[in-house]
Amino acid sequence: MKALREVCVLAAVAALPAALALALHPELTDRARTGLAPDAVRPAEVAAWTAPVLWVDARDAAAFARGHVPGAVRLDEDNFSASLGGVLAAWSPDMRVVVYCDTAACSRSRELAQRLREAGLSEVHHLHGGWEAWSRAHATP
Amino acid sequence: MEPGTRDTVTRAAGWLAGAVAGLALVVAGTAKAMHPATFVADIWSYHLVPESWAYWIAVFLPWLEIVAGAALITHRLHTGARLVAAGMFIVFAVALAISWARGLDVACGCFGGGPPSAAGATNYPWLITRDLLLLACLAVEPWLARRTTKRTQTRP
Amino acid sequence: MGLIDRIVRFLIALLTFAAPAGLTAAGPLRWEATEITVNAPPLAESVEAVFTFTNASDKPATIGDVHSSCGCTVPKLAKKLYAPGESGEIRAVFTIGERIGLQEKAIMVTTSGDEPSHTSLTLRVNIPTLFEVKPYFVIWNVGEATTPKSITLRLLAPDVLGFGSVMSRHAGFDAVAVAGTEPGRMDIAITPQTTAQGTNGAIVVSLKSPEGRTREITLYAMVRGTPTPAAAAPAPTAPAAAP
Repeated sequence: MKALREVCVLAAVAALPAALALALHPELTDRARTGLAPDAVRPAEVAAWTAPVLWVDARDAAAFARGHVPGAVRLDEDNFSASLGGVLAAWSPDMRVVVYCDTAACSRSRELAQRLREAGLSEVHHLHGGWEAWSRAHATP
Repeated sequence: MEPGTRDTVTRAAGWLAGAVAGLALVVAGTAKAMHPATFVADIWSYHLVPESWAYWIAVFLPWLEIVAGAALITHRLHTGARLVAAGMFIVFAVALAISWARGLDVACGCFGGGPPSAAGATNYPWLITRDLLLLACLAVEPWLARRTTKRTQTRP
Repeated sequence: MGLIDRIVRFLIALLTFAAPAGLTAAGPLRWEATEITVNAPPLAESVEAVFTFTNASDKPATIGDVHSSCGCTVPKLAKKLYAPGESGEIRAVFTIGERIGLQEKAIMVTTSGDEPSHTSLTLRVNIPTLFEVKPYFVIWNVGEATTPKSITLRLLAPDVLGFGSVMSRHAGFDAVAVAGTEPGRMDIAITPQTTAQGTNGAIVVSLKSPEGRTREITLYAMVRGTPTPAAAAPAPTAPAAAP
Protein backbone atom coordinates (compact mmCIF):
# COMPACT_ATOMS: atom_id res chain seq x y z
CA MET A 1 0.00 0.00 0.00
CA LYS A 2 2.83 2.35 0.92
CA ALA A 3 4.52 1.59 -2.42
CA LEU A 4 1.35 2.29 -4.41
CA ARG A 5 0.74 5.52 -2.52
CA GLU A 6 4.28 6.63 -3.29
CA VAL A 7 3.84 5.67 -6.97
CA CYS A 8 0.77 7.95 -7.11
CA VAL A 9 2.73 10.80 -5.54
CA LEU A 10 5.58 10.28 -8.02
CA ALA A 11 3.12 10.26 -10.92
CA ALA A 12 1.52 13.47 -9.66
CA VAL A 13 4.92 15.12 -9.29
CA ALA A 14 5.92 13.99 -12.81
CA ALA A 15 2.67 15.34 -14.25
CA LEU A 16 3.64 18.93 -13.37
CA PRO A 17 6.76 19.28 -15.56
CA ALA A 18 5.04 17.13 -18.19
CA ALA A 19 2.14 19.59 -18.36
CA LEU A 20 4.60 22.50 -18.52
CA ALA A 21 6.52 20.79 -21.34
CA LEU A 22 3.28 20.23 -23.25
CA ALA A 23 2.42 23.91 -22.92
CA LEU A 24 5.86 25.45 -23.41
CA HIS A 25 8.29 23.12 -25.22
CA PRO A 26 9.05 24.62 -28.67
CA GLU A 27 8.86 21.17 -30.31
CA LEU A 28 5.37 20.72 -28.98
CA THR A 29 3.83 24.02 -30.10
CA ASP A 30 0.97 23.70 -32.55
CA ARG A 31 3.11 24.41 -35.61
CA ALA A 32 5.93 22.15 -34.47
CA ARG A 33 3.45 19.32 -33.83
CA THR A 34 2.62 19.33 -37.47
CA GLY A 35 6.26 19.75 -38.42
CA LEU A 36 5.87 23.30 -39.68
CA ALA A 37 9.01 25.38 -40.26
CA PRO A 38 8.77 29.12 -39.52
CA ASP A 39 8.48 30.03 -43.21
CA ALA A 40 6.06 27.23 -44.07
CA VAL A 41 2.42 27.98 -44.82
CA ARG A 42 -0.66 25.80 -45.25
CA PRO A 43 -3.10 26.12 -48.19
CA ALA A 44 -5.80 27.55 -45.91
CA GLU A 45 -3.45 30.27 -44.67
CA VAL A 46 -2.55 31.27 -48.23
CA ALA A 47 -6.23 31.38 -49.22
CA ALA A 48 -6.81 33.91 -46.45
CA TRP A 49 -4.14 36.33 -47.66
CA THR A 50 -5.28 39.58 -49.27
CA ALA A 51 -1.93 40.22 -50.98
CA PRO A 52 -1.48 38.77 -54.47
CA VAL A 53 0.29 35.40 -54.49
CA LEU A 54 2.84 34.07 -56.94
CA TRP A 55 2.92 30.28 -56.87
CA VAL A 56 6.28 28.74 -57.78
CA ASP A 57 6.35 25.06 -58.72
CA ALA A 58 9.61 23.31 -57.75
CA ARG A 59 8.71 19.93 -59.29
CA ASP A 60 9.99 18.42 -62.51
CA ALA A 61 8.50 19.27 -65.90
CA ALA A 62 6.46 16.09 -66.13
CA ALA A 63 4.77 16.64 -62.77
CA PHE A 64 4.09 20.27 -63.69
CA ALA A 65 2.49 19.22 -66.98
CA ARG A 66 0.23 16.74 -65.20
CA GLY A 67 -1.17 19.47 -63.01
CA HIS A 68 -0.15 22.57 -61.11
CA VAL A 69 -1.61 25.45 -59.14
CA PRO A 70 -3.36 27.76 -61.63
CA GLY A 71 -1.01 30.55 -62.63
CA ALA A 72 2.04 28.83 -61.10
CA VAL A 73 5.46 29.34 -62.64
CA ARG A 74 7.98 26.49 -62.70
CA LEU A 75 11.43 27.00 -61.20
CA ASP A 76 14.05 24.49 -62.26
CA GLU A 77 16.60 23.85 -59.52
CA ASP A 78 19.00 22.39 -62.10
CA ASN A 79 19.02 25.67 -64.04
CA PHE A 80 18.24 28.11 -61.30
CA SER A 81 19.47 31.39 -62.76
CA ALA A 82 18.07 30.71 -66.23
CA SER A 83 14.62 29.68 -64.99
CA LEU A 84 14.53 32.54 -62.46
CA GLY A 85 13.61 34.79 -65.39
CA GLY A 86 10.23 33.11 -65.70
CA VAL A 87 9.56 33.70 -62.01
CA LEU A 88 10.63 37.34 -62.18
CA ALA A 89 8.50 37.95 -65.28
CA ALA A 90 5.43 36.98 -63.26
CA TRP A 91 6.56 38.59 -60.00
CA SER A 92 6.00 42.08 -58.68
CA PRO A 93 7.27 43.53 -55.39
CA ASP A 94 3.79 43.56 -53.82
CA MET A 95 3.39 39.80 -54.22
CA ARG A 96 3.91 37.02 -51.72
CA VAL A 97 5.74 34.05 -53.18
CA VAL A 98 4.84 30.47 -52.22
CA VAL A 99 7.08 27.64 -53.43
CA TYR A 100 5.75 24.10 -53.47
CA CYS A 101 6.94 20.64 -54.44
CA ASP A 102 5.33 17.21 -54.18
CA THR A 103 4.59 16.42 -50.56
CA ALA A 104 5.57 17.29 -47.00
CA ALA A 105 8.55 14.95 -47.35
CA CYS A 106 10.03 16.96 -50.22
CA SER A 107 12.65 19.50 -49.13
CA ARG A 108 13.11 21.14 -52.53
CA SER A 109 10.50 23.84 -51.92
CA ARG A 110 12.18 24.92 -48.68
CA GLU A 111 15.61 25.01 -50.36
CA LEU A 112 14.36 26.96 -53.39
CA ALA A 113 12.47 29.38 -51.15
CA GLN A 114 15.76 30.11 -49.42
CA ARG A 115 17.53 30.60 -52.75
CA LEU A 116 14.80 33.00 -53.90
CA ARG A 117 15.27 35.02 -50.73
CA GLU A 118 19.01 35.14 -51.32
CA ALA A 119 18.32 36.17 -54.93
CA GLY A 120 16.56 39.27 -53.64
CA LEU A 121 12.86 38.37 -53.37
CA SER A 122 11.13 39.17 -50.11
CA GLU A 123 8.05 37.49 -48.57
CA VAL A 124 8.95 34.03 -49.82
CA HIS A 125 7.32 31.00 -48.19
CA HIS A 126 7.08 27.32 -48.93
CA LEU A 127 3.88 25.28 -48.88
CA HIS A 128 3.65 22.67 -46.16
CA GLY A 129 2.41 19.44 -47.68
CA GLY A 130 3.19 20.58 -51.21
CA TRP A 131 1.07 19.87 -54.26
CA GLU A 132 -0.57 17.00 -52.39
CA ALA A 133 -1.88 19.33 -49.67
CA TRP A 134 -3.01 21.94 -52.18
CA SER A 135 -4.85 19.31 -54.24
CA ARG A 136 -6.57 17.98 -51.11
CA ALA A 137 -7.62 21.48 -50.09
CA HIS A 138 -9.03 22.19 -53.54
CA ALA A 139 -10.54 18.80 -54.30
CA THR A 140 -14.04 19.10 -55.72
CA PRO A 141 -16.48 17.12 -53.55
CA MET B 1 33.26 -4.63 12.23
CA GLU B 2 31.09 -3.02 14.88
CA PRO B 3 27.37 -3.73 14.33
CA GLY B 4 26.67 0.02 14.11
CA THR B 5 29.36 0.53 11.49
CA ARG B 6 28.21 -2.52 9.57
CA ASP B 7 24.64 -1.15 9.51
CA THR B 8 25.91 2.18 8.17
CA VAL B 9 27.95 0.49 5.45
CA THR B 10 24.98 -1.73 4.56
CA ARG B 11 22.65 1.25 4.33
CA ALA B 12 25.16 3.18 2.22
CA ALA B 13 25.65 0.22 -0.12
CA GLY B 14 21.89 -0.12 -0.54
CA TRP B 15 21.51 3.58 -1.21
CA LEU B 16 24.40 3.58 -3.71
CA ALA B 17 23.00 0.63 -5.64
CA GLY B 18 19.60 2.32 -5.82
CA ALA B 19 21.23 5.57 -6.89
CA VAL B 20 22.96 3.83 -9.80
CA ALA B 21 19.60 2.60 -11.08
CA GLY B 22 18.14 6.05 -10.39
CA LEU B 23 20.86 7.76 -12.38
CA ALA B 24 20.22 5.43 -15.33
CA LEU B 25 16.54 6.37 -15.23
CA VAL B 26 17.28 10.09 -15.06
CA VAL B 27 19.60 9.86 -18.08
CA ALA B 28 17.06 7.79 -20.02
CA GLY B 29 14.23 10.16 -19.19
CA THR B 30 16.25 13.27 -19.99
CA ALA B 31 17.30 11.93 -23.41
CA LYS B 32 13.64 11.47 -24.30
CA ALA B 33 12.34 14.64 -22.61
CA MET B 34 14.74 16.72 -24.74
CA HIS B 35 13.27 15.40 -28.00
CA PRO B 36 9.54 15.12 -27.38
CA ALA B 37 8.54 15.61 -31.01
CA THR B 38 10.73 12.71 -32.17
CA PHE B 39 9.50 10.58 -29.30
CA VAL B 40 5.88 11.33 -30.22
CA ALA B 41 6.59 10.36 -33.83
CA ASP B 42 8.27 7.15 -32.65
CA ILE B 43 5.34 6.12 -30.46
CA TRP B 44 2.79 7.12 -33.06
CA SER B 45 4.59 5.20 -35.82
CA TYR B 46 3.57 1.85 -34.30
CA HIS B 47 -0.14 2.77 -34.51
CA LEU B 48 -0.90 1.01 -31.25
CA VAL B 49 -2.31 4.05 -29.45
CA PRO B 50 -4.38 7.01 -30.66
CA GLU B 51 -2.41 10.13 -31.59
CA SER B 52 -3.51 12.12 -28.56
CA TRP B 53 -2.39 9.27 -26.28
CA ALA B 54 0.98 9.28 -28.05
CA TYR B 55 1.48 12.94 -27.05
CA TRP B 56 0.62 12.30 -23.41
CA ILE B 57 2.76 9.17 -23.20
CA ALA B 58 5.68 10.88 -24.93
CA VAL B 59 5.55 13.84 -22.57
CA PHE B 60 4.65 12.10 -19.30
CA LEU B 61 6.79 8.94 -19.40
CA PRO B 62 10.21 10.63 -19.58
CA TRP B 63 9.29 12.86 -16.65
CA LEU B 64 8.10 9.86 -14.65
CA GLU B 65 11.50 8.27 -15.31
CA ILE B 66 13.30 11.44 -14.23
CA VAL B 67 11.21 11.86 -11.08
CA ALA B 68 11.50 8.17 -10.12
CA GLY B 69 15.25 8.27 -10.79
CA ALA B 70 15.64 11.40 -8.67
CA ALA B 71 13.62 9.75 -5.90
CA LEU B 72 15.99 6.76 -5.92
CA ILE B 73 19.05 9.02 -5.82
CA THR B 74 17.71 11.17 -2.98
CA HIS B 75 16.14 8.18 -1.18
CA ARG B 76 12.76 9.95 -0.98
CA LEU B 77 9.60 7.96 -1.78
CA HIS B 78 12.11 5.25 -2.67
CA THR B 79 9.68 2.34 -2.23
CA GLY B 80 7.37 3.69 -4.89
CA ALA B 81 10.32 4.74 -7.02
CA ARG B 82 11.72 1.21 -6.81
CA LEU B 83 8.37 -0.17 -7.94
CA VAL B 84 8.21 2.20 -10.93
CA ALA B 85 11.81 1.49 -11.90
CA ALA B 86 11.48 -2.27 -11.47
CA GLY B 87 8.35 -2.28 -13.59
CA MET B 88 10.13 -0.43 -16.38
CA PHE B 89 13.25 -2.61 -16.24
CA ILE B 90 11.22 -5.83 -16.21
CA VAL B 91 9.03 -4.78 -19.15
CA PHE B 92 12.12 -3.63 -21.07
CA ALA B 93 13.93 -6.95 -20.38
CA VAL B 94 10.92 -9.02 -21.41
CA ALA B 95 10.42 -6.97 -24.58
CA LEU B 96 14.10 -7.36 -25.47
CA ALA B 97 13.96 -11.10 -24.82
CA ILE B 98 10.89 -11.54 -27.02
CA SER B 99 12.43 -9.34 -29.69
CA TRP B 100 15.60 -11.46 -29.58
CA ALA B 101 13.62 -14.69 -29.80
CA ARG B 102 11.73 -13.39 -32.83
CA GLY B 103 14.88 -12.21 -34.58
CA LEU B 104 13.90 -8.54 -34.69
CA ASP B 105 16.55 -5.88 -35.14
CA VAL B 106 15.80 -2.87 -33.03
CA ALA B 107 19.28 -1.30 -33.32
CA CYS B 108 19.05 0.07 -29.81
CA GLY B 109 21.55 2.85 -29.33
CA CYS B 110 21.47 2.61 -25.56
CA PHE B 111 24.11 4.79 -23.88
CA GLY B 112 26.15 5.11 -27.04
CA GLY B 113 25.57 1.70 -28.54
CA GLY B 114 27.31 -0.72 -26.19
CA PRO B 115 30.07 -3.09 -27.32
CA PRO B 116 30.65 -3.35 -31.05
CA SER B 117 28.58 -5.95 -32.84
CA ALA B 118 27.81 -6.94 -36.40
CA ALA B 119 26.76 -3.92 -38.40
CA GLY B 120 23.06 -3.30 -37.91
CA ALA B 121 22.56 -6.24 -35.49
CA THR B 122 21.13 -5.55 -32.04
CA ASN B 123 23.42 -6.76 -29.26
CA TYR B 124 20.74 -8.46 -27.17
CA PRO B 125 22.96 -10.24 -24.62
CA TRP B 126 24.57 -6.95 -23.68
CA LEU B 127 21.29 -5.00 -23.56
CA ILE B 128 19.49 -7.59 -21.46
CA THR B 129 22.46 -8.03 -19.13
CA ARG B 130 22.69 -4.30 -18.56
CA ASP B 131 18.96 -4.10 -17.86
CA LEU B 132 19.06 -7.02 -15.43
CA LEU B 133 22.06 -5.48 -13.64
CA LEU B 134 20.07 -2.30 -13.11
CA LEU B 135 17.15 -4.41 -11.83
CA ALA B 136 19.56 -6.12 -9.47
CA CYS B 137 20.69 -2.71 -8.18
CA LEU B 138 17.11 -2.07 -7.09
CA ALA B 139 17.04 -5.33 -5.17
CA VAL B 140 20.26 -4.66 -3.22
CA GLU B 141 18.76 -2.38 -0.56
CA PRO B 142 15.75 -4.60 0.33
CA TRP B 143 17.99 -7.67 0.34
CA LEU B 144 20.58 -6.03 2.60
CA ALA B 145 17.80 -4.69 4.84
CA ARG B 146 16.37 -8.22 5.20
CA ARG B 147 19.85 -9.57 6.07
CA THR B 148 20.34 -6.85 8.67
CA THR B 149 16.95 -7.66 10.22
CA LYS B 150 17.83 -11.40 10.39
CA ARG B 151 21.20 -10.61 11.94
CA THR B 152 19.57 -8.36 14.52
CA GLN B 153 17.00 -11.04 15.34
CA THR B 154 19.65 -13.77 15.76
CA ARG B 155 22.07 -11.58 17.74
CA PRO B 156 22.08 -12.63 21.37
CA MET C 1 5.08 -6.07 -39.11
CA GLY C 2 2.95 -8.48 -37.02
CA LEU C 3 1.06 -7.23 -33.95
CA ILE C 4 3.40 -8.90 -31.46
CA ASP C 5 6.43 -7.48 -33.24
CA ARG C 6 4.83 -4.03 -33.17
CA ILE C 7 4.03 -4.27 -29.46
CA VAL C 8 7.52 -5.46 -28.63
CA ARG C 9 9.17 -2.69 -30.69
CA PHE C 10 6.75 -0.17 -29.18
CA LEU C 11 7.72 -1.17 -25.63
CA ILE C 12 11.40 -1.04 -26.48
CA ALA C 13 10.99 2.40 -28.07
CA LEU C 14 9.05 3.55 -25.00
CA LEU C 15 11.62 2.43 -22.47
CA THR C 16 14.82 2.79 -24.44
CA PHE C 17 17.70 4.42 -22.63
CA ALA C 18 18.69 6.43 -25.66
CA ALA C 19 17.26 9.49 -27.32
CA PRO C 20 14.38 8.47 -29.56
CA ALA C 21 15.68 7.60 -32.99
CA GLY C 22 12.68 6.57 -35.02
CA LEU C 23 12.98 2.81 -35.38
CA THR C 24 12.11 1.47 -38.80
CA ALA C 25 11.21 -2.00 -39.95
CA ALA C 26 14.67 -3.40 -40.68
CA GLY C 27 13.84 -6.43 -42.78
CA PRO C 28 16.30 -8.93 -44.23
CA LEU C 29 18.90 -6.53 -45.58
CA ARG C 30 21.94 -5.42 -43.55
CA TRP C 31 23.47 -2.21 -44.83
CA GLU C 32 27.14 -1.36 -44.61
CA ALA C 33 26.02 2.25 -44.29
CA THR C 34 22.61 3.89 -44.67
CA GLU C 35 24.05 7.42 -44.83
CA ILE C 36 26.81 8.44 -47.19
CA THR C 37 28.35 11.88 -47.52
CA VAL C 38 30.18 12.84 -50.70
CA ASN C 39 32.24 15.96 -51.33
CA ALA C 40 31.61 16.96 -54.93
CA PRO C 41 34.72 18.10 -56.80
CA PRO C 42 34.46 21.68 -58.05
CA LEU C 43 32.64 21.93 -61.37
CA ALA C 44 31.64 18.26 -61.25
CA GLU C 45 28.42 17.58 -63.13
CA SER C 46 27.47 14.57 -61.05
CA VAL C 47 28.66 12.37 -58.18
CA GLU C 48 28.01 8.74 -57.35
CA ALA C 49 27.60 6.95 -54.03
CA VAL C 50 27.41 3.20 -53.50
CA PHE C 51 25.20 1.72 -50.77
CA THR C 52 26.24 -1.90 -50.10
CA PHE C 53 23.95 -4.44 -48.47
CA THR C 54 23.79 -8.15 -47.64
CA ASN C 55 20.80 -10.43 -47.32
CA ALA C 56 21.28 -11.46 -43.69
CA SER C 57 18.17 -13.59 -43.50
CA ASP C 58 17.83 -17.29 -44.28
CA LYS C 59 15.38 -16.68 -47.14
CA PRO C 60 15.77 -15.01 -50.55
CA ALA C 61 15.10 -11.29 -50.36
CA THR C 62 13.40 -9.36 -53.16
CA ILE C 63 13.85 -5.63 -53.47
CA GLY C 64 10.45 -4.49 -54.63
CA ASP C 65 11.05 -0.81 -55.13
CA VAL C 66 13.86 1.71 -55.03
CA HIS C 67 13.10 5.35 -55.59
CA SER C 68 14.50 8.71 -54.67
CA SER C 69 12.86 11.79 -53.23
CA CYS C 70 14.34 13.85 -56.08
CA GLY C 71 14.61 13.42 -59.84
CA CYS C 72 18.19 14.65 -59.48
CA THR C 73 19.16 11.40 -57.74
CA VAL C 74 18.86 8.23 -59.79
CA PRO C 75 19.31 4.95 -57.90
CA LYS C 76 20.57 1.98 -59.92
CA LEU C 77 20.12 -1.63 -58.86
CA ALA C 78 21.68 -4.53 -60.81
CA LYS C 79 18.99 -7.07 -59.86
CA LYS C 80 16.09 -7.49 -57.45
CA LEU C 81 16.46 -10.99 -56.00
CA TYR C 82 19.22 -11.80 -53.50
CA ALA C 83 19.93 -15.23 -52.06
CA PRO C 84 20.65 -15.65 -48.32
CA GLY C 85 24.10 -14.26 -47.64
CA GLU C 86 24.37 -12.60 -51.04
CA SER C 87 25.54 -9.01 -51.23
CA GLY C 88 24.45 -6.29 -53.57
CA GLU C 89 24.69 -2.57 -54.05
CA ILE C 90 22.62 0.43 -54.98
CA ARG C 91 24.50 3.07 -56.98
CA ALA C 92 23.02 6.52 -56.51
CA VAL C 93 23.95 9.08 -59.14
CA PHE C 94 23.29 12.65 -58.11
CA THR C 95 23.21 15.33 -60.83
CA ILE C 96 24.48 18.61 -59.46
CA GLY C 97 23.13 21.19 -61.92
CA GLU C 98 23.13 24.63 -60.31
CA ARG C 99 22.71 23.33 -56.79
CA ILE C 100 24.98 24.65 -54.08
CA GLY C 101 25.85 23.84 -50.51
CA LEU C 102 24.82 20.71 -48.62
CA GLN C 103 22.22 18.65 -50.47
CA GLU C 104 20.49 15.79 -48.69
CA LYS C 105 18.47 13.31 -50.72
CA ALA C 106 16.62 10.22 -49.53
CA ILE C 107 16.42 6.90 -51.34
CA MET C 108 13.65 4.56 -50.21
CA VAL C 109 14.26 0.83 -50.54
CA THR C 110 11.37 -1.54 -50.04
CA THR C 111 11.67 -5.30 -49.81
CA SER C 112 8.65 -7.40 -50.64
CA GLY C 113 7.59 -10.75 -49.19
CA ASP C 114 6.11 -11.98 -45.95
CA GLU C 115 7.54 -9.11 -43.95
CA PRO C 116 7.96 -6.06 -46.21
CA SER C 117 10.52 -3.64 -44.90
CA HIS C 118 11.41 -0.07 -45.70
CA THR C 119 14.82 1.44 -45.44
CA SER C 120 15.61 5.08 -46.02
CA LEU C 121 19.10 5.68 -47.35
CA THR C 122 20.50 9.19 -47.13
CA LEU C 123 22.89 10.66 -49.65
CA ARG C 124 24.51 13.92 -48.58
CA VAL C 125 26.49 15.84 -51.16
CA ASN C 126 28.64 18.83 -50.27
CA ILE C 127 28.69 21.01 -53.34
CA PRO C 128 31.37 23.68 -53.16
CA THR C 129 30.03 27.18 -53.59
CA LEU C 130 32.31 28.78 -56.15
CA PHE C 131 30.57 32.12 -56.39
CA GLU C 132 27.93 34.29 -54.74
CA VAL C 133 25.56 36.65 -56.47
CA LYS C 134 23.57 39.27 -54.60
CA PRO C 135 20.94 40.08 -55.72
CA TYR C 136 20.02 38.28 -58.94
CA PHE C 137 18.04 41.21 -60.27
CA VAL C 138 17.78 44.96 -60.18
CA ILE C 139 14.58 46.88 -60.63
CA TRP C 140 13.57 50.45 -61.48
CA ASN C 141 10.14 51.96 -61.25
CA VAL C 142 8.76 53.59 -64.36
CA GLY C 143 9.82 57.23 -64.34
CA GLU C 144 12.66 56.62 -61.90
CA ALA C 145 16.04 58.18 -62.69
CA THR C 146 18.22 55.98 -64.90
CA THR C 147 20.88 55.68 -62.21
CA PRO C 148 23.05 52.54 -62.50
CA LYS C 149 22.26 49.78 -60.03
CA SER C 150 24.73 47.14 -59.05
CA ILE C 151 24.79 43.37 -58.63
CA THR C 152 27.69 42.01 -56.63
CA LEU C 153 29.46 38.88 -57.81
CA ARG C 154 31.93 37.26 -55.40
CA LEU C 155 34.26 34.63 -56.77
CA LEU C 156 35.03 32.35 -53.83
CA ALA C 157 37.62 30.18 -55.65
CA PRO C 158 38.98 32.37 -58.46
CA ASP C 159 41.69 29.82 -59.28
CA VAL C 160 38.93 27.27 -59.97
CA LEU C 161 36.36 29.55 -61.57
CA GLY C 162 37.25 33.09 -62.57
CA PHE C 163 35.50 35.99 -64.20
CA GLY C 164 35.13 35.78 -67.98
CA SER C 165 32.75 38.35 -69.41
CA VAL C 166 29.44 40.13 -68.96
CA MET C 167 26.97 40.77 -71.75
CA SER C 168 23.56 42.35 -71.79
CA ARG C 169 21.09 40.42 -73.93
CA HIS C 170 18.67 43.34 -74.07
CA ALA C 171 19.37 46.56 -75.93
CA GLY C 172 17.52 48.51 -73.26
CA PHE C 173 20.14 47.81 -70.60
CA ASP C 174 23.89 48.36 -70.46
CA ALA C 175 26.03 46.16 -68.26
CA VAL C 176 29.62 46.78 -67.20
CA ALA C 177 31.74 44.73 -64.81
CA VAL C 178 34.02 46.62 -62.47
CA ALA C 179 36.52 44.91 -60.17
CA GLY C 180 35.65 45.57 -56.55
CA THR C 181 38.07 46.54 -53.80
CA GLU C 182 38.06 43.08 -52.20
CA PRO C 183 39.77 40.16 -53.98
CA GLY C 184 37.35 38.12 -56.07
CA ARG C 185 34.65 40.80 -56.03
CA MET C 186 33.09 42.09 -59.25
CA ASP C 187 30.39 44.73 -59.33
CA ILE C 188 28.11 44.46 -62.33
CA ALA C 189 26.74 47.95 -62.95
CA ILE C 190 23.52 47.91 -64.94
CA THR C 191 22.00 51.03 -66.46
CA PRO C 192 18.65 51.25 -68.24
CA GLN C 193 18.50 53.33 -71.41
CA THR C 194 15.13 54.65 -70.31
CA THR C 195 12.56 54.02 -67.60
CA ALA C 196 9.70 55.51 -69.56
CA GLN C 197 7.97 52.15 -69.74
CA GLY C 198 8.16 48.69 -68.27
CA THR C 199 10.65 46.24 -69.73
CA ASN C 200 12.64 43.14 -68.72
CA GLY C 201 16.14 42.22 -69.75
CA ALA C 202 18.71 39.52 -69.10
CA ILE C 203 22.42 39.99 -68.44
CA VAL C 204 24.65 36.97 -68.82
CA VAL C 205 27.81 36.68 -66.76
CA SER C 206 30.27 34.09 -68.00
CA LEU C 207 32.75 32.47 -65.58
CA LYS C 208 35.73 30.48 -66.84
CA SER C 209 37.92 27.77 -65.38
CA PRO C 210 41.63 27.43 -66.25
CA GLU C 211 40.73 24.31 -68.31
CA GLY C 212 38.41 26.40 -70.42
CA ARG C 213 35.11 25.24 -68.93
CA THR C 214 32.49 27.94 -68.59
CA ARG C 215 29.58 28.54 -66.25
CA GLU C 216 26.95 31.10 -67.18
CA ILE C 217 24.86 32.99 -64.67
CA THR C 218 21.80 34.87 -65.85
CA LEU C 219 20.98 38.11 -64.05
CA TYR C 220 17.94 40.26 -64.62
CA ALA C 221 17.10 43.92 -65.01
CA MET C 222 13.53 45.13 -64.90
CA VAL C 223 11.63 48.36 -65.24
CA ARG C 224 8.29 47.94 -63.61
CA GLY C 225 5.15 49.96 -63.13
CA THR C 226 2.64 51.85 -65.20
CA PRO C 227 3.73 55.06 -66.93
CA THR C 228 2.02 57.98 -65.15
CA PRO C 229 0.43 60.66 -67.37
CA ALA C 230 2.52 63.89 -67.54
CA ALA C 231 1.44 66.39 -64.78
CA ALA C 232 -1.20 68.86 -66.21
CA ALA C 233 0.38 72.21 -67.17
CA PRO C 234 -1.16 75.13 -65.32
CA ALA C 235 -3.88 76.91 -67.43
CA PRO C 236 -2.41 79.99 -69.13
CA THR C 237 -3.61 83.19 -67.48
CA ALA C 238 -5.23 85.77 -69.74
CA PRO C 239 -2.84 88.58 -70.53
CA ALA C 240 -3.58 91.71 -68.57
CA ALA C 241 -5.70 94.10 -70.57
CA ALA C 242 -3.74 97.03 -71.92
CA PRO C 243 -4.56 100.20 -70.10
